[in-house]
Amino acid sequence: MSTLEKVEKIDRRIVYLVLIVVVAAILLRPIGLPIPISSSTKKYYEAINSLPSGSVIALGVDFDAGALPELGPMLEATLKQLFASDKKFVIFSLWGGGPAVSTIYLNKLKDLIESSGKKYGEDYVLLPYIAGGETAAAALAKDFKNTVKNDYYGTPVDQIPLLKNLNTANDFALLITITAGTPGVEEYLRQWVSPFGIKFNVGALGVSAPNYMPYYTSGQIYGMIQGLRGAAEYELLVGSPSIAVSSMDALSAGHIVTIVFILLGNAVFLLRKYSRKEVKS
Amino acid sequence: MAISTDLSVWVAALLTIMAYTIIYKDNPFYKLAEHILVGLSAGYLFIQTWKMIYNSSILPLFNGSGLLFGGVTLVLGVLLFTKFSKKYFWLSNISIAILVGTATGLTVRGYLFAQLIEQVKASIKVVTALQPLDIFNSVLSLIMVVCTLAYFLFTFEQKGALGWIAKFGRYTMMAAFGAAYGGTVMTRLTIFIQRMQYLLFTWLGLA
Amino acid sequence: MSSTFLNKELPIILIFVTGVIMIVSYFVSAPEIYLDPLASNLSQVAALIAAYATILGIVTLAIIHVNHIVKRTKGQWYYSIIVLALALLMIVVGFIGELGTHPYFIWLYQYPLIALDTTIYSLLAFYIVSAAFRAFKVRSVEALILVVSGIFVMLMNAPVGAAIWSGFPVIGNWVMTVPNTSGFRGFIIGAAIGAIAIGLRVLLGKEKGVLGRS
Repeated sequence: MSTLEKVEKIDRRIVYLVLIVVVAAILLRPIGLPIPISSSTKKYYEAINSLPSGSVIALGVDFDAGALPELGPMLEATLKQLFASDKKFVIFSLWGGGPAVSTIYLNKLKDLIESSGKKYGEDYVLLPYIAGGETAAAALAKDFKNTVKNDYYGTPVDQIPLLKNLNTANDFALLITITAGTPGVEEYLRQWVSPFGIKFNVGALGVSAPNYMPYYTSGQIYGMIQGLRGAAEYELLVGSPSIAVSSMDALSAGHIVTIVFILLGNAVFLLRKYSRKEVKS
Repeated sequence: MAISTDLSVWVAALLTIMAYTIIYKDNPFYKLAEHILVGLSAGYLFIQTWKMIYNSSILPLFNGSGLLFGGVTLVLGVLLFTKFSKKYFWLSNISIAILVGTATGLTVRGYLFAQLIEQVKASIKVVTALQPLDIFNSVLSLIMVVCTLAYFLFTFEQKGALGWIAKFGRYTMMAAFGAAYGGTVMTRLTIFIQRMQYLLFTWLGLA
Repeated sequence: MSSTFLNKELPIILIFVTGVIMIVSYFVSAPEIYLDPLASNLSQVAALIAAYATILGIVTLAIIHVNHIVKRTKGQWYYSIIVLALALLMIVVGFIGELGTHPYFIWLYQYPLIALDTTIYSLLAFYIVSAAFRAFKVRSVEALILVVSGIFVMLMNAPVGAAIWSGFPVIGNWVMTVPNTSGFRGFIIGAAIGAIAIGLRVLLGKEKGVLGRS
């Protein structure tokens, strides 16, 4: 076997080891590269800030454990912005993991919630998981209160002050979804945005953001946080750099490793191709 | 450097390492980790779904606040379980029919407006009074959308002018797939980086 | 009523009626025939049927694992015991107090479940990097376009891209907003036309496969 062939057929576990070593090294010795902020993240942030005082926001926590590393920081920063603002919000979920994830982050931000002065039931509410995907999204949009009979803690909705006047999607000033896929953006577009014309913010996985760009450029999505990079930008805007910002150098390192391997793999491939041509001629 | 003394962190860290053993080779520790996840996920989803069913379907039936709605949904829900019967499995089709019909009606009207009309409008949006580059991008984008749609026209043989148009459509799709690949790399690396952070900082306490 | 009617025709009639109610209610408001509350209730009924179907899926999973245990399937039956035991633990803890709010229930989600779910998802990072080296070969113009656009988007997403050259994020952003948007917009329009066509076929009873066995 020639050297090029040996390199081409290298054990994949060596590739894995390179990734582990590079990422670990950068995590232990971060560089602190600057993080420019994109316009889509700025619009997401401004959409919340620009609402009149007392506006009610619908926050869909539409992901579960697997997407937590990328969407968790977005949710945390969104909750921080909402608790620091004069807006009210209702948390609901079309994904089974949503209530548990929301509970984890609300517990994490206990001190912030206390100092914000916001009261559960008057300023924010956590609703349970609503199964059904698109039918659930449609049911919520048409008859919000009657689709969920109780909040997550078992209190009937007619005993919760914040939910008293929330009947349809028209009663919300903004819809935010932080979503890992389906049900998510397209279901909300079809059942909330298109029929009711509500402003729509999206927190999307890096893998999904390219798919949602047509909706963003058409104006159906107002602001969008794209992946962990977007989450880091958003943390900076909210003034609370956290796990997303601290992951950026390692993300850069991981991307460079991937690009180097793509180029190396192609270089070896092309060199072998031309050396075979030379041997034939 | 202070390794964590929190039992919860140790549980999470050891399960993480058990799952990572697959990168060396397949082994019983990884299979065990997989099955622990399946069990916990199934139990969790059961509780969250049962919560919805209990609050919206069963409780209204028994406390009188929604006799008709609760009764109808309970009956339709239970009918689904007839699928296990060789004689009465067809009863489950009634519930499935209502679900399919409702969902289809919702999606047909939704696709028409949110995804067909709005996206066609966005494609033919004429950019006026803006930079030449924005006008160029808008026109190029319209050409690319048309070419992408032309690629899927199988009614006519793709040769000559249609062949070139479809080829440009294919190149456009490749650029879109490349962008999707770039996004996928970010998502996968993010999850890996956060597990590394958990092991290095939360568990091992390395600064 | 004949069994053929109940088995075949009734479901098709139900699909048509419920579908038409949902479509018509979008365009027409007719309070005298209770169209709006009917459409609203129908959405909620459908959502609940989907919830019952989720429970059905979990019960089916449990039956599969019980069968493995009963038949002592080689290399599997002991794992099936683990699956059922942990599912039962999660369900029992979930029923303590208000459903799904007990601290032990949240603990089971927050520590073991999140750790395993995220770790198993993170394995794809290794496979992506390995595939980047071993499989991502530029053998054609299409592959070259894919690689180039992928690299520019990666250098836009990673802050290091802007640090190396300020043009990388600009080109990456152009790739996202022009060719990427155009490509996926083409898919969306095509998929919408297809979905509407299939939807109409389902409503008219031409797609028998949606009901499973009959």
